[in-house]
Amino acid sequence: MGKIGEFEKTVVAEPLKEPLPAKKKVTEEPSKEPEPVEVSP
Amino acid sequence: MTPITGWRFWKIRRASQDGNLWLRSVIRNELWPPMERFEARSSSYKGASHPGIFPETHSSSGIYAYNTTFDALENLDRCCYRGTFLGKVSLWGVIQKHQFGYRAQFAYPVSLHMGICCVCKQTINLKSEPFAIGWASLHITEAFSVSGLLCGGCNKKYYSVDIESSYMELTQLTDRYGIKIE
Repeated sequence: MGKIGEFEKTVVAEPLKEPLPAKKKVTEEPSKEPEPVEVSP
Repeated sequence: MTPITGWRFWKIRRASQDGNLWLRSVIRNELWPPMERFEARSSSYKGASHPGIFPETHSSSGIYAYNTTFDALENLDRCCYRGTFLGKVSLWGVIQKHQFGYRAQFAYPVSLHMGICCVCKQTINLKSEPFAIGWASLHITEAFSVSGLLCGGCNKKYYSVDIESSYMELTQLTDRYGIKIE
């Protein structure tokens, strides 16, 4: 990927949390309970 | 220690199967996974590459990035950066620092800022200047379409691609990766 020049030094970057974007929350509608069905005897 | 921020170029690809847009490395045929870290792989253009390596001191391995936009744009003529996008990238893990940039173990894109017109090589400010993305099928594989980025002038002169839909496509890509156009 092109020229980045002469090597200077090694560094270690260990972030406490990886810098990834937060995943979007998918809001699911609560499932509805089925309506009671009247059954004729 | 916080991650380091560098600058790098990407190409974009569109999967034929589902239409999803992907960031792809410029030199290597590697797609960057959305919402997941991108890992350095062992260097091999011919054979299979293996993830999980860290860049060694005296090698060419690692995920490349430049210190600044100036360093990145200085290299425009060295590689085929026509039609690519320039943006910020977070780098972490083992990082080999060089004079003008880095070779890192892990990376994730932060934002896209500029594009390089594939006809005239003019830099395009993605936030404030018109651009167009043209698509062509890749000859080698039909799995992905290849993008060509055009500045407003070259688009008007040669192609007349719809600018609004191009901006929407790029927004679709940045949304998918959770990154910004800045």
